[in-house]
Formats: sequence, C-alpha cells, structure tokens
Amino acid sequence: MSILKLDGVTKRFGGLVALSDFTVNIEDGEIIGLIGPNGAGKTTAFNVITGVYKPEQGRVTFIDRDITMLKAHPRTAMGICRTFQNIRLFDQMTVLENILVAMHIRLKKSIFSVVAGSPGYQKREKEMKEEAFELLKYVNLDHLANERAPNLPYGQQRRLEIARALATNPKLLLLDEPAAGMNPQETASLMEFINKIREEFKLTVFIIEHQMMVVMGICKRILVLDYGKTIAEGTPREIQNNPKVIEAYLGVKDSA
Amino acid sequence: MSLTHFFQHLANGVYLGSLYALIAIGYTMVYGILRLINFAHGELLIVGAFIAYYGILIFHLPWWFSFIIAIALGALVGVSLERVAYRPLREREAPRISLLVSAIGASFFLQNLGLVIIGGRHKSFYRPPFFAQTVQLGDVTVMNFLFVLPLITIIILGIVFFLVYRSKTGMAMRALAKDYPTARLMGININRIIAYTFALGSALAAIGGIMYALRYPAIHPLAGVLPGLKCFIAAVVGGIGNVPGAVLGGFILGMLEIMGIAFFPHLAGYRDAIAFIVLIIILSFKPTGLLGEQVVEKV
Amino acid sequence: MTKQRKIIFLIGALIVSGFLIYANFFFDAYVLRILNLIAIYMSAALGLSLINGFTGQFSLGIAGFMAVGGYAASLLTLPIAVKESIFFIRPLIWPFNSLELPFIVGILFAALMTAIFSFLIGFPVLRLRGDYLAIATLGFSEVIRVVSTNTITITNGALGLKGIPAFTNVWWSFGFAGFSLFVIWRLINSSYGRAFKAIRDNEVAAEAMGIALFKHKLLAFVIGSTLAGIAGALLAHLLTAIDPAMFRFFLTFNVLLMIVLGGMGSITGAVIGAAIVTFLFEFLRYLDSPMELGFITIPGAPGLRMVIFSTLLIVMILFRRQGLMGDKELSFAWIEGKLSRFFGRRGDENVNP
Repeated sequence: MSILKLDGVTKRFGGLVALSDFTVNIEDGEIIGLIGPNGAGKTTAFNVITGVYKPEQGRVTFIDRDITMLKAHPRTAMGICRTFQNIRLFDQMTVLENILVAMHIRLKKSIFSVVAGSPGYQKREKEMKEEAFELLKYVNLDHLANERAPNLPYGQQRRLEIARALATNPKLLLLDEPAAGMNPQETASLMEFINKIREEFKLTVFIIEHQMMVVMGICKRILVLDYGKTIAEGTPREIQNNPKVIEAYLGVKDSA
Repeated sequence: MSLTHFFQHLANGVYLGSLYALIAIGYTMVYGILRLINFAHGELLIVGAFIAYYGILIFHLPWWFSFIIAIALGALVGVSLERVAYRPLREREAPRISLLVSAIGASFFLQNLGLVIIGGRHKSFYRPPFFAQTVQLGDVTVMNFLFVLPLITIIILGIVFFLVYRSKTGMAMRALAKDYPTARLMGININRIIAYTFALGSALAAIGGIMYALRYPAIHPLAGVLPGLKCFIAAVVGGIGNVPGAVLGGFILGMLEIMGIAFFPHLAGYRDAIAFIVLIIILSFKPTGLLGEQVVEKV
Repeated sequence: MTKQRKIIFLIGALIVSGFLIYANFFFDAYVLRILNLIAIYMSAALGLSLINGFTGQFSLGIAGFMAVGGYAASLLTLPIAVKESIFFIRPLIWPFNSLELPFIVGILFAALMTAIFSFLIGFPVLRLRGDYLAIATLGFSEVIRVVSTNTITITNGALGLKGIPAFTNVWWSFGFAGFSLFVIWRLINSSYGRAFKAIRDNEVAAEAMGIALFKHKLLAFVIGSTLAGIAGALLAHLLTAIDPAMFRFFLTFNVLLMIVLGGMGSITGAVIGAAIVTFLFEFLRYLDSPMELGFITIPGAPGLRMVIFSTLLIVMILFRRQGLMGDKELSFAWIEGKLSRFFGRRGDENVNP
C-alpha cells in the first residue's frame, strides 16, 4: 500500500528551480533514502511534504488524500512528522516538556477546561506525562527529563529530536541528516536506533543523509537528486554503480 | 473644490510627502542594517529643530548657519545614541526584541529630557523671510517654502542616492544590510559603517525636523512622536530597508493625509489615524511592504 | 497539589487577606490608592507577559485594550444623571444613555468588549512577526485612541468621562489580580502553556509538531488583552475619570517596563515588576512638582520621573536583559526549601512531581 506519493512536484524560488518534476511513491513500512549534493533540493522536498512550502505544480498524496495545499500542522495530526537538519529544539524548555509539546495535538481539551482544571484534563495531563516519560525511557533520556534541552550533548539532542517527532504518533517519519556531525560509533548506534524505532512504532522512514554508510546500511531503496531533478533510483548497489550519480558527486563537469 | 484650491492641496501634499520621505529614509537605512526600529528617530527630528531654534534665539546665528549646526549636531546625537543604547546589545548578540525595548527606552528618555530641559510650552520657530515670502497663485496666496522645500528635498534625495548607491561607503552599507556575517568576514568595519549610517539618517532627521518646524512653527519636546511614527510607517509601507520604498511610502502617506482631509473635511479628527490604517491595510496584503523583498525563512 | 502546598497556599492567602483588611481600616486613601494601582497593573502586566513573554508575540497595544475596557465598563456603570450632565456637547447614544448597571455587569461587559476587539485586531496583525507585529499593534492602539477622541456620542471625545462611581476597592483589585495570577499560572503550566512557549522558542519546530500557530497566538493575545481590558475597567472606577490622553503609548511603556524589569518569561517577575514600577511611579511623583526643603524650594521638573524610568529601562536591558527573575518562578518547591531550612530539617526535595 502506498503511504506517500509525490507526483510531478515543482518548487521554484524566484528564478531558481529547487525541485523539478519530482515524483516518488513510498510504500507503507518502507525505509527509503534521499541523497544528492548540497543544494540539490532534498530539504525542499521535505518542506513540500510537511507543508512548509506549497509547490507550484504537482500533487502530494498521503494515504489516498490530496494534501498538496494543506497547512503544516494538520499534516502532523495525520501522521507526518520530521526532524530538522539544524536541530530545532525548544531551548527554554526541559527535555520532558519538549516531548509534551509534541503531544499537544492529541490533547483534545478546550482551554476553559484546562484553566478550570477539570478532572478530565488532569487525568489527561497525567497520562501524557507518563507516556512522555515512557518514551524518554525508551530512548534512554529519562535521567535527563528535567534538564534543559540545550544542555544535552549533541548526539542526545539529535535523539531527543527524533523522540519528540515520535511523540506526535507519526506514520511517516522524515529524518533530515540525522547523522550529521556524528562520529562512526555514534552513527552506528543511530542506525541501530532507527531500525529499532521503525519496528517498534511501525513507521515508514524517509531519510536524507550525507553519510553513505547510513543510507547504504539501512535503506532498501535510494533516490538521488541533483539540481532538483531525480537522476537515479534503485537499491544501494545499483546507486553505487550508477555513472550519473558518480558524475553528480565527483563532478565530471564541475557540477558539485 | 476649485482648481486653485486643488493645486494648493496638491502643493501641501507634495510638501508633506517629501518631508515624510526624507525622515523615512533615515528609518529605512537604520533598519536595513540593524534590523531595528529606531523608535528614537522621531525625537531626533525635534533635537534638530530645537538646536536650530536656540542657535537663532540665543547665539544669534544667521538662520542658515544655525540650520547647518543643527544638522551636524543632530547627526552627532544620533551616533551617540547608537553608541550608548544599541551597540552594547549588538556586541552581545542580544535578541532583536531587546534592541527594540532599548530603542523605546531611548525615545522616552529623549522626550522627557526635552521636557525637563526645555519645558512643556510651545516655542514659535523662526521662519526666515526667504521662506515666508508669498506667491500669488490665481486667487490663493501660498508661501514660498511650499515650493522651495520640495526642491531642496529632491536635491537631498539625489545626494542620498549617490551616497548609498554610488559611494564606497554606501556599498559597504548595502553589503552589511544584505548579509551581516559575510560583510564582516570581508573586513568591513561594522561599527564605523553603522555609525556612518546613523550619522546620515540622523542628519536627514534633523533636516526633516527643521522643515517640519518651518511648516508648523510651534515646536514642543513631544512634537516629534507623531511625525516620527508616521514616517516609520511610511518606511514600512514602502518596504523597510528599501530607500526608494521609503520615498514612495512617504509620498503616499503625505498625499493621503492632505487629500483625505481636503476631500472629506468632516474626517479631520481622524487625520492621525490615516497612517496607521494605511499601515494595517498594506501589511495585510503585502507583509513586507510595497517594494520590500519577500523573506523566505530557511528551514 | 500536595497537602503541604495547600497549607502554604492557604497561609499565603490568609496573610494577604489579613494585610488587606488591616490596610482597609488603617491606611489613608493615598496609600490605598497606590495599593489598588499596584494590583491593577499586576493584572495588566500579567496579560502583557502572556503575550510578549510566554508566547513571544511582541505586542505594544496594551493601552488600547485598557481603554476599551475602561470605556466599556464606565458606560454601563455611570449614573444616568451624570451621563446627562457630562455629555453636553452631544448626547450619549442609546442604549447607554438609559443604563445604570452594577459594577460586575460593567466588568463583564468590559471583558466581552476587549475580547471582541482583541480578536478582531489579532486576526490581521498576528500574521505579522517581530517588529512588524510591534508596530501594527501600536498602530491599532493609537487608532483606538484617535477614534475614542472623535466618537463624541459614545466616549464624550477629548473631555472623557467624569464622575465614574468609585467602585474599585482593594477587594476588587486584589481579587482580580489573584484571579489573573491563577489563570496565567494554570495556563502556563498546562499543555496550552507549553504550546505557547514552544511558539516563542521555535516557531518552525512548533508548527512541525502540529501546533496550530495562528490559533494559539490568537488565544494568548485575546486572553492577555482581556485581562488588560478588565484592568482598564478597574482603573476607570478607581480614578473615577478617564479620557483618551490617558491611554497613550506612555501607558504601554509603563506596563512594558514592568515585565522587562521583572523578567519577560516569569509570572513572579510580572508581579514584582508591577509592584516596583507602580510604587516608584508614585514615590517619585515629587520629582515632577515643586519641593520644599525647609528653607529653599526646588522647582519641579515635569518629565524627570520619566527620564529616570526610561533610563531604568535602558540600563535593565543593557545590563540585565533577563530581568530580575529571568524565567524563574517563586515556586512552592522554592518556598518549601526555604521553610525546611528555616525549621532545620531537610525537606523531601521533590522538584518536579
């Protein structure tokens, strides 16, 4: 079953075509990689999927529903969530609160019942805190629950960002360069972690990554973007041997 | 409305418009570089007007010399303001809202210092005979300055455009406005350029203040607040950070204010609300103003 | 809330009530007036703090909403005879000319009107960000003031309203300050409060986590403005006279100073800031008027007080940007810690239950 479909999506910024006629079909439960040189339009693709940008042409379909023009936040409620290339945590909040923010969409209580402290809300708040704590335990951050997010070391901030995305109950998780700035050891444990959460939460994972070790290691299928166009698609082995990909990366005609 | 009356209103509109344009340029230049609404810019108008006033009254300077001194000292006040209230925050990389709060504080400081030193009574500004001569236009009489000052404005605008778009310092200013970190890496002396921008903007404010005082010759320490706000709005309407935009915004607001009241005299009481209403309408449709660049936030 | 905390809360409430009863009996009218002002500004500062401090939407329109609240309530509570005598240029329009309602109705009407106004104003302006938002809210506040100067058949124009019944007393003002404190405290520590703070910390990430940005900004804006509007109503019934000039940018400046001084992201900070600024404002009143120093008289300098206040604001932002409290709170855990130390036993330090 297809979970996400992009059909001929084009996004321009002024004269620059960031994404051109981009088409991809992601199956439920798949783990798929998106690679390409800097400025190839990878993050733009994520921004179109999550609703930060609206494309000029093309359609975005999520579980049989056309979401091309839908705002960003209802998409999260439908089950699309992401992390960011440059970590975006809530800096003045604790680790636990960062997780709780992501549960706010599932609160379903009016502001009046919240201020009045209705028993229904208090029960819900307690459940949310328990659930958030469970999640933190699962990602091994529970001992830091009351620490402020920026005080965490880099690797743990990345993990917190993924945990925060998980707290929205996503079906499709978009990871934007999760291994950026990590050493090989951290990268290996991240790969293990991604596989683990995919099984546990029954996720479809779409991942942008520069470290070939990660994409080659966990993805069954890889897409290659260059100048906003898909230049190759296939298994890791096929991609590794594709002359176009080699050209894009090594820059035969000085294109990198 | 007779044709001659219409032309008189038109002349008034051009006058007010060019006055607003001059002051709005100062706002826009400072905003372009610091991303800061210099709330105290309106006070710099009055600083200029009062220095000119006292130059003539106490030191018996010839009016033109007094005006020049006022413009120079106005620039100096602007530079000191930046040095004391904004630079320390800039160097500590404070959030922009802190700079805004500091600017609001500086504005109130200057207003009330003016009240303490000068007092709250209106002072009548000296109108040199050169400006006060009248011209007969059909059956209405108009004072000379209504024609002279737009001309001066055009000359000053020419100078400003030259300084911003043709001079080397202007190039550094624009580089700083475009990309602060890169400009810094390129070896631009940031503090010097910012001081230069404040000097230029504040000198324009002083000129604007003197022109304002020539038109409405009762000056008061708090008299800069409203024109200051309106000119800021002119800069925003035109697209803040954009010099031609400030000129456009200034003329739109000046014209609307004069013509609005000319055609709908019963709305005269709402005169001071016109600028704000224009602001709200423009921002609803073009959030970065008429000529402003669309900002795409990088995610 | 644990039992221990309930006891602390109760003791605190009792001390405040006891103080107010004492004040009501033994303090003179001048001191009572200052106490009332402190409580009223606390509510307004808490409202502004919710919008500017917790949700990060820098609004400069608080004076406009205080004006709406002040006028709305006064138009209902002013006695009919007074209305007839003060509206001598042009008569007051129906239905206000034939209404004379109790204070509580006036306050509820003030709340309703500021909620409606802030909703209508928030709708276009909250799409703007940063200083654009600041200038647009300031613009609306000025428009409200200009309109209230011109709609003579409702507001009596520049003459303003006089003879408003002096209904505000310490019970009303401190009661409402307590109510505001309760509402903001509950809100900030709830899921909605976390959503507000998330918007302040990182708008892009907040939206990606499914938070409806506009809805939450509007919620904070309407709630904060409504608290300020009710504060305006209480102010009108304390001073017994209002006019458009009272609600200049100057008033917004004062409330802004309170939250900057106290700390923009702190409830306790807003309360402390309101108390200090209001107290200083009254205490320094002598600077603006002539002063007798035994044998010489120093002429007063109108404006000197505001020179000091604006200097205070600049110094604060230059040297202690986070304000007195930063984003910390005077919390139960803190009080418990102090108490247990005072009683010489180590309390169980449950920082976050």
